[in-house]
Amino acid sequence: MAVKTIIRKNTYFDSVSLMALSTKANGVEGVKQVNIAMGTTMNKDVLKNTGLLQKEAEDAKPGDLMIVIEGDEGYDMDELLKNVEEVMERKTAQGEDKDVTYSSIEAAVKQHKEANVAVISVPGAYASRVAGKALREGLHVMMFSDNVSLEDEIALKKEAHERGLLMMGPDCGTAILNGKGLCFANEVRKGSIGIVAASGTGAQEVSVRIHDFGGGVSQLIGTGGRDLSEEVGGIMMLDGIKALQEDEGTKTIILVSKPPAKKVADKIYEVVKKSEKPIVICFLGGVKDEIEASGAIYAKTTKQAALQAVILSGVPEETINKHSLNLQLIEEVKAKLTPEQKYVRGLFCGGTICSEVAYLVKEEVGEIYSNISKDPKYIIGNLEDSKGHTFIDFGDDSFTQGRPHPMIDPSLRLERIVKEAKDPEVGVIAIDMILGYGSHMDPVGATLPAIKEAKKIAAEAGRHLEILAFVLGTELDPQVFDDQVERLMAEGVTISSSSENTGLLSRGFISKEAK
Amino acid sequence: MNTINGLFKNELEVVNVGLEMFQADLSDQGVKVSQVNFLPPAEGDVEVLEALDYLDSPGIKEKIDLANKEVVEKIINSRPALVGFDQAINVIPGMKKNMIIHAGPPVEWKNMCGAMRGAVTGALVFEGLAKDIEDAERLAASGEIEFSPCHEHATVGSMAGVTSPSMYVHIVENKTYGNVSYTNLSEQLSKILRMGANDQSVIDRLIWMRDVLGPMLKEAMEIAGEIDLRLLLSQALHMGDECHNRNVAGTTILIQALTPYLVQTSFSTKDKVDVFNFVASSDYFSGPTWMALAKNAMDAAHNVEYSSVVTTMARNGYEFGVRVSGLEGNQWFTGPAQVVVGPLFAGFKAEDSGLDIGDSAITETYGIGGFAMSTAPAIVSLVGGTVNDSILTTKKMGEITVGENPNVTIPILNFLGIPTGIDIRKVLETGVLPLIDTAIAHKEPGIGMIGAGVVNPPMECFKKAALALRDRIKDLEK
Amino acid sequence: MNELMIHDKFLERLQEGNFRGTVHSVFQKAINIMDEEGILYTILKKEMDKGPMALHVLEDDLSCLNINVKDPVTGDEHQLILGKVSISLKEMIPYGFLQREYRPSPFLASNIKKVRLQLEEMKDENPSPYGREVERLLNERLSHLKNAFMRDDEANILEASLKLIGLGPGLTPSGDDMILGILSVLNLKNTPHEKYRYLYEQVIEHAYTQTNILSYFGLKRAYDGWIRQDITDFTIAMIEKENIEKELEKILQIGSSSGQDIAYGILSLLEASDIERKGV
Repeated sequence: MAVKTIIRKNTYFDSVSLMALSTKANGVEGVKQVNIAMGTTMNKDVLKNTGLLQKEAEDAKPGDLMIVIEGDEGYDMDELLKNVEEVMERKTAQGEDKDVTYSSIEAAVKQHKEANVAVISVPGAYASRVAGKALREGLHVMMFSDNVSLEDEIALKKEAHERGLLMMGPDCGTAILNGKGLCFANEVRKGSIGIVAASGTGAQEVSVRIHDFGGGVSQLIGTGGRDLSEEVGGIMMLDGIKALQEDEGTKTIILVSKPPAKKVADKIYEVVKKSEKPIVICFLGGVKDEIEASGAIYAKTTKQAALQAVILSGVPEETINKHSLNLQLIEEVKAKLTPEQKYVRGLFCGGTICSEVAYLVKEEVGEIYSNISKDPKYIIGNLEDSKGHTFIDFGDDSFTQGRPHPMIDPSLRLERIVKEAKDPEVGVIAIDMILGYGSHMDPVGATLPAIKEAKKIAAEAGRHLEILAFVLGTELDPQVFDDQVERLMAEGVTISSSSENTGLLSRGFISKEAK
Repeated sequence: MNTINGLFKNELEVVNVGLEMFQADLSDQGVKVSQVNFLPPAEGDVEVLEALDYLDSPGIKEKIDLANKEVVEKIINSRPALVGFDQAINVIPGMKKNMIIHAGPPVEWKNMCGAMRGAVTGALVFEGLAKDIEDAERLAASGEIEFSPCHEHATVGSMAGVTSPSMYVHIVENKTYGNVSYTNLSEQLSKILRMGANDQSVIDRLIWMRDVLGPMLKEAMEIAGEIDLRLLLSQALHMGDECHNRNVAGTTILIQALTPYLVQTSFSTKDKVDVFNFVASSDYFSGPTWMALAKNAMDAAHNVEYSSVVTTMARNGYEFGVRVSGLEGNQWFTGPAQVVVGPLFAGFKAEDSGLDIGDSAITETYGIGGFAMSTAPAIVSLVGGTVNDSILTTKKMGEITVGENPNVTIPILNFLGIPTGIDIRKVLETGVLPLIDTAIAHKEPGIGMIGAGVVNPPMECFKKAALALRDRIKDLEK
Repeated sequence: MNELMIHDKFLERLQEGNFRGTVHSVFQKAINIMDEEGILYTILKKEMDKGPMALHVLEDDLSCLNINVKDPVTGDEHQLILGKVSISLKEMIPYGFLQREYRPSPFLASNIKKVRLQLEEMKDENPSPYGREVERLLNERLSHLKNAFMRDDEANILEASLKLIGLGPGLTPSGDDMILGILSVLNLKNTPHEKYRYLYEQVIEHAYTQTNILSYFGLKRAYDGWIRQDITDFTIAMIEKENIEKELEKILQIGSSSGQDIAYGILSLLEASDIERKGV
């Protein structure tokens, strides 16, 4: 049993206060029981009989107050002790200003006249009202909330457009403004490449690859996933491009999205044609000729987009480590897999990462199943068994109803990793580990037990299971990148260096032809 | 102008509404970030949300803002002065011989809480209309007695607020706008009529107040002329009173102002000594005076079309009622009276407490009391808080009010004016309810005060008021 | 009730002059002073009942008086000064504690039954293992003490009493409160067990080292015959009155659970006496 004792020398509280204190202390999370009594011999005897007597209490005098704390399993007792002492202390210190919280945007702005951005993560039903108020207060808006109606999105974006403000989102997870990451973002070098992105992890991946290739990011503007639909008409992306064109700090622009609606794409190409700054377009699955016809630079993948932009931004190409595919590794892995192990199972937290990897594997194998497939024939439900090559986006709405996103809580995926390992037809399990602000502080630590279990299952069945992990992050992120990678490698996990390479390696490992 | 490119050139400063993890991440990156704790506005009530959207719509919002500005100017510019004392029947508009006025919104005899029933029956005995309490209960139920809210007679009454024709009342005149307000005299100790006590000692005290205290105060004010109450209030706040639950300083400076005139009256020395001893027996002596001051300013601010500012918050132990400036006359918006949270006198338990009662919430409506908690650190322990909590409370009340009153200031907040003009829109948008300091009366008649604490109004009052304001403005816009 | 009162013994001490001490502890309802001889005196707020070595002041919350622990205290026949606060002794009305008599009435038996029932109902239903153990020991020792009284077993009266000192929760440990209750019955003139009262001199001596100083003084004063008015009133009501609600309510308001424990003490000794009287 975990027990801590506090002794207050010659402390007299009246009995009613003692009761109130003990009620308060018993309310602290993790406290099983707090017993408060004067340090008399008799009371110490009782503590002894109930196994609660500690050294501190043994020395207590009848005029001393003994506070004996029993903690629940799994709580740090020192921490608990601190918390109990905290509630028992009368707060006397003047609160720091950071303790002040507000109940409305108006009130916050009244006290912080320099505020310029509102980050909104309230339930979807109220998000539009809050965003409207923020815009009217003259704030740029990043709306993390989702479940906002299309009409509201259009109205908000029109209002923001008229006011000359950003309206990033709804459902916008990533932005980097003036070098500071908002919501889910990685710590990357400052530079001259501006990004406008309709996808969260896609934007994270582009910014991280830019950093990796030696470039830097000026601004990263998120638009939310529906911005390039016909209804919304790309209001935010068009405003974003315009702002980056006018921004002195931006030399090169990257656009990242799924392919836009035709009408919207045309509008974007119009703008691109007139642009004085080079624009790299990565519309995952977009048509090369169409894009190049606008004068933009076509990039097939997020990695290629980053690479092109970094070279355009002036980083000498020969100094860049492009992380070209390790063909020897592919042969080694292929040799370890049995002919029966013909499938890839991709289990991802990042939506764009999942799409991009699936897209690259599909190019090679033709037929893949996914919970985010556009073709109903290839849709697979959350709880359905995998078949063939299966790619699951664990961040899809159908998984996250009422639960935190797997980037915050990777545990959602653990069971599935183990399950796939039991399937003798599986050769490769591909996973992502997303670092950066907003994400879990140790996604690898949270996932390792499942990885070990999966490896063990395969080993006991006498086969090799290739686990391929992509760690999306930089050495500047709050999680320690190298440590995350090393702990994976120590368990025999193969590390890929980008979303693109994850796709290429996966398909390489299970390809039939010898290269 | 805050354009996108303007943003790129300036330092990022964020308002984070919702998930606190985003605030922490931004702070870690050295970004200045202020946190807004989100509550569903209007408790998520769809009809009220729509009404709020209407009140917030272009063209309407500006008119409301303008009206509210006018209302707050009226509150701030009001200069209430004590000009006299007299019997209720002689001065209170609409007062009748068979009328009893009471705290809060209208309430029928059958719905009155214990404290109010105790006070009503006590008052009937005091007036000689009933021979004893039992007889008074019969009379009160008979329909022969007319009940009416104090607030509808330019009057406020502390706790049960029961004021009968021959009781003496303060007369407070608004030197700026000319309106006059009234409130009865403090009975001082805890076993008193306004708390529902009604035994012989209570009646005897009322008789003495009618025959000695009231007439003496009346005569004194005839000599004095007038006393500027706003000035005294502002001094009292600087001396550590919030002028609702703490009145130590206010009573001292009020009696200091009255004394030269009291000693000049024609009463015997014994009577004068009795009066001074009576005043000295409780700090509450000036409590009603500040209520009359607040009522005087709030009445001047009532009836401004389009305004969403609350001009009355009052409770009768059965219901909590508010009135709003833009909803003229005596339109009450009510919800059930709430439980007061706070320490009780020794010997009483939580279940003995009556529900929230009294017109004294007029002080919070004006901006003192719970709104000015930070100026009275001596009593923050009464509400289980710290000095810092009280500062946060005053700041929080600033989030639901239109402006500050520069004439009544709080030293510890760098002489910030008290938060003034509760805006029902802000209450509903933020989910922050006004905080009211108050006393607790026993739920049964005949017992009296048993504690003190704090209470919030029910959200329902503000919801109903918002719907009515929407209807009223739609009519005006036709 | 409004006049200010002082225990005559406290006033006598002040009139002797040269009273010096320090503030020992400050609560909302009481401030304790310890003089240079280590004797405890108490300042009570006005609503409190008469207490031993106490005086009353007109103040609702003594902890707001800006009097702090270790503030110097001086006093003479005119005034008592604690830190920066001076209390005038003029117009203070002295009171004493009269010895009451044990005059059992027919109501005693039914009162005992009624009060025991009510006390049982007030018990904490879900105590912690520690709380349960304390409760078990308190029950065991108190009934041991009661039995010893019934059997006129002097040695066990002493032993059980000693074992209660310092046991249990609260500023005044529950066991101390029970002994206080016992003393309030033993103090009565002609009480059936009067002859064992002398044993408590030893119990009090033991308490000096085995419980905190505030509780010790409470017991010592009780042995000197000075017990808070509300406790004595309850004891007398138990023995003599038909309706004891008011007195019971008042005693239960003492402290957080002290009132209950004192009542248990009183009850136990009255039970022992009552049964004996009936010759059961």
